[in-house]
Amino acid sequence: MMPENRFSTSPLDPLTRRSDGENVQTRQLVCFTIGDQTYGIEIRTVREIRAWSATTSLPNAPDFVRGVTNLRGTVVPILDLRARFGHGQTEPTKAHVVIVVAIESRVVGILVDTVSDILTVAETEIRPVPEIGGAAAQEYLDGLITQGDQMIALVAADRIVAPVLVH
Amino acid sequence: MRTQTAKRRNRTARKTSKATRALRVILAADETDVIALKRRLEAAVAKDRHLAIDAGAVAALTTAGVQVLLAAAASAEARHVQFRLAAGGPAMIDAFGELGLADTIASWLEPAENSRVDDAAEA
Amino acid sequence: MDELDELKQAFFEEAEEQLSDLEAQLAALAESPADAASLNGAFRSVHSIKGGATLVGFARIADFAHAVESLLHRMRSQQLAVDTAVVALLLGSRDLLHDLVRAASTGADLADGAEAIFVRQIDSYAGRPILSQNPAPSPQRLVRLQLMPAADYLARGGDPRRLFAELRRHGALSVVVDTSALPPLEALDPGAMHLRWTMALETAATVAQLRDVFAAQARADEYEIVDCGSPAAAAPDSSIAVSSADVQVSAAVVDPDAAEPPPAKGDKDMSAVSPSERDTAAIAVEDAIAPIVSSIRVDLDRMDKLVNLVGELVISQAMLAEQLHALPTGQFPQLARGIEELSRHARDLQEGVMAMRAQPVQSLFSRVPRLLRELSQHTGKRLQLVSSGEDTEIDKTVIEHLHDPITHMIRNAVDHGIELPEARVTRGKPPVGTIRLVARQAGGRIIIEIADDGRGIDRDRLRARAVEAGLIAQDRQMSEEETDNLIFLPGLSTAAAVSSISGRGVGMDIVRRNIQRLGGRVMIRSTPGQGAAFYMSLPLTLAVLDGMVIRVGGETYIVPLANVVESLRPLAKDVHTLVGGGDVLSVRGEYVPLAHIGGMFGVSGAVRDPTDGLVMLVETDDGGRIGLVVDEIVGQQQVVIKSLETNYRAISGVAGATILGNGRVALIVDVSGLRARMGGQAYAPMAEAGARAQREQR
Repeated sequence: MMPENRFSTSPLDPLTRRSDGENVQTRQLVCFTIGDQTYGIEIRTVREIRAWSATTSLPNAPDFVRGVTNLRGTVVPILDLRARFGHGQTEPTKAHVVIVVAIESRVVGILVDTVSDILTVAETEIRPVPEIGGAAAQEYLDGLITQGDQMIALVAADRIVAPVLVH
Repeated sequence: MRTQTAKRRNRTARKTSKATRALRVILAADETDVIALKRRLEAAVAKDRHLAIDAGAVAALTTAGVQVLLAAAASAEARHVQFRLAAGGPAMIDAFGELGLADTIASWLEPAENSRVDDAAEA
Repeated sequence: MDELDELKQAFFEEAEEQLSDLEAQLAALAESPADAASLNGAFRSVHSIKGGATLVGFARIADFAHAVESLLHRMRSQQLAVDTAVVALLLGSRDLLHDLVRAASTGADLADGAEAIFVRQIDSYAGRPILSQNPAPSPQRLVRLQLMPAADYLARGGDPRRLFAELRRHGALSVVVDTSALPPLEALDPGAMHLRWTMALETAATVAQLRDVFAAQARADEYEIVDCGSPAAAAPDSSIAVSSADVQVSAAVVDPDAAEPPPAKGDKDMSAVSPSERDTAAIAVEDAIAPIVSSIRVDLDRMDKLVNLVGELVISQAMLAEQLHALPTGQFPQLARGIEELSRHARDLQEGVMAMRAQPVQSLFSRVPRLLRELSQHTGKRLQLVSSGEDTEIDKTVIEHLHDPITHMIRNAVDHGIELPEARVTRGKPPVGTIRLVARQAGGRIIIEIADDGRGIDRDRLRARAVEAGLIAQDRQMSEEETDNLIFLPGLSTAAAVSSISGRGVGMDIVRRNIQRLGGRVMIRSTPGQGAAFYMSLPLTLAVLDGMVIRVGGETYIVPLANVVESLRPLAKDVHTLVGGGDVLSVRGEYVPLAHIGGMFGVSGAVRDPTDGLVMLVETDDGGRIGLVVDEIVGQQQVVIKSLETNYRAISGVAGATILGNGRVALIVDVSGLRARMGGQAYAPMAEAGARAQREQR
């Protein structure tokens, strides 16, 4: 009945010590997938991760706003990130995941396909988004990270959520 | 006769310019620095014979601020400086009202346009 | 000599000086009526005497000084001409003041009623004072309080306003300030406290309770509490001069001919008794008079948390109940009974918790007399207040948000409704305008009325202005009531500012929006020439709503019960489609526009033909009606209101959200918003619909 709560995360200190004793700026990211692309979102914004459960639709909402859901007594809007990126609507099942983030004291859920793991990357590993990616990429992403042969796109949580929260 | 006419014309002229001549003391939205407020009012009272206090922008007025304004009004009176409230604001009214000073604010109101008061002060 | 005697001595000396100044100033005024400096000086002299008298407890002197002061005030704010007659009256009054002070200083008695003649004359100049015809019925008594903060009071974090606000929670408070200790500006230490206050509190609280209030905010030597017994016994003598008062002037003032109890004696009792004796006397009085009120102070945050928890509890038990329905009936009778009991307990608990937060609307009404006094002074209109239902209770959070709307509506009534005294008399009305303030419970909601007996709404002018502003179409047909309620459209009406002091006017549209935010409704009804009345309907509490649960397509919505008129299954012959699009339903001769929620909200699978579903007739704030086309009515339920705006934003046509027993979110419909969205269609010319229907019938 109530959606189960699979993970709980808490923000950690971004500074870690390297083996040679130097302090480096790092970021901790929660990694998730949409289709076959992997993304990362700063753990500092993430409140929890839940399995998908049916939402109540909102009248006259943009196509990427799936509706609202009950999060332990609070009404929380759910954004379909695939649709936000303009790649069509998600057909969510119980296997899909909602990442609940807190942006400027508002709580919003982001619908993604799966959550893979939590990654720590050094600030220096984050590359800027190339212009060739297009305007959408520039708007929604903060950078790119290479892990082995995988490219992870760093998501700008506040810019993704912003239009929803217009007063 | 000429003298009289001139006097009358001057009186009218002085009357209109008097209305605009008051030194306008504009209070800020936050007047919690009462020491600064006191200095400003002291300077104003020493400077001009007509003061118009504009408190329209005041968003927060403490009891200390109210005291300073009261003392300024008393000082002004002692020096025969006209002390008027050109614009109040909800913050000021609330502050004065809660402290039992609603009548005081009423007495500081700008007099009406065709005021005999202005003429008299002039005379 | 104890401190009070010293103060009194100081008062006598000071008063002698002021009185002789006053004599000089009045003499100057008699010579040249335009002498503003003398007029102001006279005002200040009387004001000082009043303040001093209040501080040392010479209420009779203070009262009379107040009357004289009001007269002087009217003169210097140009409401009254300075002529020989009024100056003569002032000189006579000055002499009487002198006699009163002399009598107090020598301990002699001055004949009762000596002031009455003067007061009557002063009243005839100044107009009748504002009075309430409904004095509070509860067992209240008048307690006199004094606050004499030490110089470091502010530095210690003390705040007189905070203290006064606390005191106001216990009853109506009137405050008189003593500024005599205020040094001149150059010598002023701005961080030090130089003001003192004397207060009168009409309250049912005990002296011990009041002492608690003070003890939390001031040192023991900075305050004093004196109990003066019940207001009736104390009569005009113990009523503090009504200057910046919240106190509704008691019935005693209404009839100046009533025999006054020996006032001088009363004065002496106050003055002769030493502080400790007074306390004992006060305690004795407290035991005798104080009602058995025991209460406990609770932190508001804790209360809110409790209310939320109870709300969640109600939702949880609703979920359990829902699950129970899914089980085969009869299989688990114990379980069923248990859950039913749980539901009952949860509901009782919720009611109890809500009741804890409920407060009488008295605190809203108590500010009104002062507001009327200000308005009366600024506009020159004469006003009186009649109020009832002060003990009607409403949730604390709702009350806090009502202060502004009520103030604005009263301003609006006085500015635009009540006429000047001369105009009223010409129309055969009494020169004093009446503002009526009523609170009552009706149908699970609180109704607050603000009525005036002024000129009512000028419908033609209002309509013309609305057309001019482009807010309505030139040919739009409206009922009288709808026309009156145009004042709630932006830009058409303000609770106007008549003086620079009240700042900008606030539009009625903002007032309505704020009331709607509370889940309330407001409308106006007017009778031209006779008056108008604002009607506010408010939920008992912000958190909970009685609603009708409806289904549209696959979605569930809640319609607030307060808006629901009736539900019907329409017949095909009663449904008509208009030329410009949109359907109307004929209901007992009236044509009601239909709102297809499914279409408006983008819900798939919703019933399209009204005859396939149901029509729920609902009423908006201004009395307009629309019919909601729904698939089915699921039931009636009390729901806990959740905010949509906290994490998302406002949606037009949606008032909020709630969580149903199945854990799903359901949106609450905003009927007025829906109607606004329907736009022109909702206001389709009724004549056209009627004519068309007639044609179809033939």
